[in-house]
Amino acid sequence: MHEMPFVYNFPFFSIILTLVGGMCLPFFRNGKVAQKINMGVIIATGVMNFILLCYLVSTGESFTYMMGHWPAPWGNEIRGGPLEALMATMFCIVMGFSVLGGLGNIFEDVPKKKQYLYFLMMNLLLCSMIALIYTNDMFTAYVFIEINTLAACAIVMAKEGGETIVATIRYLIMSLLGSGLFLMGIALLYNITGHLLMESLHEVIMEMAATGQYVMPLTVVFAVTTLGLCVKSALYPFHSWLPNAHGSATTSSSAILSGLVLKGYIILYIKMMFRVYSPELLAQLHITDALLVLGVLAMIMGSVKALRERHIKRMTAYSSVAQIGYIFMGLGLNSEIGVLAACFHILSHAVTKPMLFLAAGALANVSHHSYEFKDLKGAAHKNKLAGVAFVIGALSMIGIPLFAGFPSKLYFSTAAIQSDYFRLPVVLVALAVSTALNALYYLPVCINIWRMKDEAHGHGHEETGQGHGHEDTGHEETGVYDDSHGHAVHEEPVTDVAAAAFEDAHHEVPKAGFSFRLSMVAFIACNFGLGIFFIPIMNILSQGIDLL
Amino acid sequence: MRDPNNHEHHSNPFVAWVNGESKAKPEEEKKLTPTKEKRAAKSADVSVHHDRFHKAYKPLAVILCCAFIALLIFVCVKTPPFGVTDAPTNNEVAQKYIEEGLEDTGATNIVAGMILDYRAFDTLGESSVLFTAVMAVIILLKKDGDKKKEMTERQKKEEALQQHEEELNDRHRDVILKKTAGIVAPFIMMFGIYVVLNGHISPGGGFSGGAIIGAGLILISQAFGSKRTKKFFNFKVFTIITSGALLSYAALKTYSFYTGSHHMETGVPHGIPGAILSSGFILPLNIFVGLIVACTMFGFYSLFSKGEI
Repeated sequence: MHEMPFVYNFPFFSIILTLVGGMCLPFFRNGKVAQKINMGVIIATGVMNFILLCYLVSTGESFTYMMGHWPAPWGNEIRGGPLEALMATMFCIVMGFSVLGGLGNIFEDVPKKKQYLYFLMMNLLLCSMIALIYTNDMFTAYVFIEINTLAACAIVMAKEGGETIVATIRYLIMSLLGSGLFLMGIALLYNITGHLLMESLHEVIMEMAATGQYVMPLTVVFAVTTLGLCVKSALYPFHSWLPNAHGSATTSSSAILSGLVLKGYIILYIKMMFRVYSPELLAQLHITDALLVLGVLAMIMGSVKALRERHIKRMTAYSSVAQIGYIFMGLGLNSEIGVLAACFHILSHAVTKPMLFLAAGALANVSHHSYEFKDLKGAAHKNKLAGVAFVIGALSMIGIPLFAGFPSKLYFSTAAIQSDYFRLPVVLVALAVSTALNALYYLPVCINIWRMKDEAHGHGHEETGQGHGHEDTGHEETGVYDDSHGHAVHEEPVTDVAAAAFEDAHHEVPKAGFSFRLSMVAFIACNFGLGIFFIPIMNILSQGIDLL
Repeated sequence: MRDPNNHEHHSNPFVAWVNGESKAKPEEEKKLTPTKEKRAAKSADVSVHHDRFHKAYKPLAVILCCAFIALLIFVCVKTPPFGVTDAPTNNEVAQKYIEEGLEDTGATNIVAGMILDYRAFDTLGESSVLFTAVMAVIILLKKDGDKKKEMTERQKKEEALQQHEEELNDRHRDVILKKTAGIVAPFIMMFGIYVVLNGHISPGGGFSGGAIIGAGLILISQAFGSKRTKKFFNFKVFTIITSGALLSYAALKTYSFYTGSHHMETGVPHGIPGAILSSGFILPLNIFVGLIVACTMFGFYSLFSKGEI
């Protein structure tokens, strides 16, 4: 114990650094300075967690870290392992690039005097999520859930206007309902067991399950905490707050809320599944079955609702509901490979959905700040990188090979095939239907944004096809693509575009900045990285799950 | 900032009302239309299904709540009864807190020892929750000085009304309130400070003492007007105290967490139990927590009533 490697300090350092990074911002009261501090904190935290990840993977161990002078059941403790380090690293990367990608919108949407508060909330949000990932204590988890709730609401309402305030009120009420249920669960659990530390809880619960003592209160505790976290991570029947909150917030907020905030709770739930309860016990009490049913419902109903939307951000938000359904379905399958697929899907959704939101935001920026499909027609020609990113994100969500969404679907179906005769058909059919629905609502949008303006009939397919070619050859050649396209295929649309551009000239089309391009390229790279090199990541994840 | 070219029309009347685009009450017009026409309009409306849902909503919610309450009561009956010696709650955790708490932390008040020494990380989180909440309310409610030109009619009217009210209040401030507050407020403050400073010796501590001080500040602001409180407590002072106290808390605890996890001594003496200067970090931590709580309480009051601190 005395020979503790220095890297074991890093989770503690990341929590304190992000917390202090948030607390000191009121002294500066300047949006630009706050943004630089925020970025510095994110980078430092990301680097620390990455080093920790490398160390833990190479040694293949997990550790606990005392927060104070008192050992585990008396004092606070945090715990790190490969799973936690990987998730924390990924969260930092996604958060950093999400903030970068929506920077222009943040400075535009948030009133000047309150911009520093936005970045303050970002720091606190990152702090709470890292603490949720590393926590080893139920009450610590609850405290950071509270910070997470408030900070998440704050980044929704930072954009002024009635719509965001109404969305925030809904979000706050539902989110507090979730926290309340979770707190009730912890209170009951403490009342029965007298413990808050995960290991001690696990021991006592196993003993009680074996002797049959207090089984009824324990069942209610499991159900109530599960329900609370389901409400907070927007599982299907409790999703009603999500489309409004994610659809109306500023672009970066939408990206972070849907890419990360929902996942923080799911990771906590996975930790609780293994470290507080046990998967067998949950299966015995049919809680995993309930998760499976709700997950399957979410996969289909989320996609159906997305199909009906004509607002690009709300559609993407409903797609998140479906993707959360995938994750919970993986957990509900109650097999190691199912949990593995769920964990991988957390990662792949975290690198895909923020990209979709950022691209949608950028496309709306060049179409008079409208998110309606009809106004977005041809928007990709004004911001090609955003268009390419949106197409890649859409293909990834559908689950095309080479993209991040593919390995998770592969593993979900493997998990389904390995499960029993009752679950197998349900899950496979749900996967197929949901994938088809994904394609049905994403592809028309992709075609729409690449379509020439004022031209109703479809060259759409060609265009997306060429979009692919161009993304393979690299971004520098967009000019070449445009020229060849114009000369070879048809002359007139180009002049149409020119006319449209001329029309738009008096309405200033904002240029996508360097930070936006950087973040898009990074997200695309992450997407391909996860999609192609998924086996090492799966290995890390399964190592992490084994150590839980 | 809302884009003027944004032609998106809001289906939600509440959204329009918040934006200051419409008035809140279209119901009076509704009453005038005869039932038949209303029905016809309803059947044409797509949201009929929605109305039906809203009708069922209230009874359903009541039934669900009752069921949940019944379930929880049933569970509480099933949990171990209070005060039974062989309940699983009486384990080594509580035992150590009670038996060795004084020796370990130096605090006569075991609760203070628990929240500020054994489980100080949770308390750091709790104080950050207060900080997050007050900052979120600032985002929501604090007025921006430089946006006067862009204000809508409604906001301007509200502003004028508020100013008028404040002037009236200043002129006819209640004599009883003023006199009583003048007598009571110093004692409230003193009691609050006492509770904070003696947190490690007697019941109380930063959270309760801070709440008392905050209540005293609110009373002063009510009785003598916000102009008087502004002389010593403006936004700048507020941020300096809140952030400063929180940062000091974090700094102290970082030191203690780091030394703790590396099994080093902090070098801070526990002192004689029961003395005011004892129990290591607990006294300064209580002071910081008290400052944060007092500022947060007063901040909430002031933001919700006036939109500024």
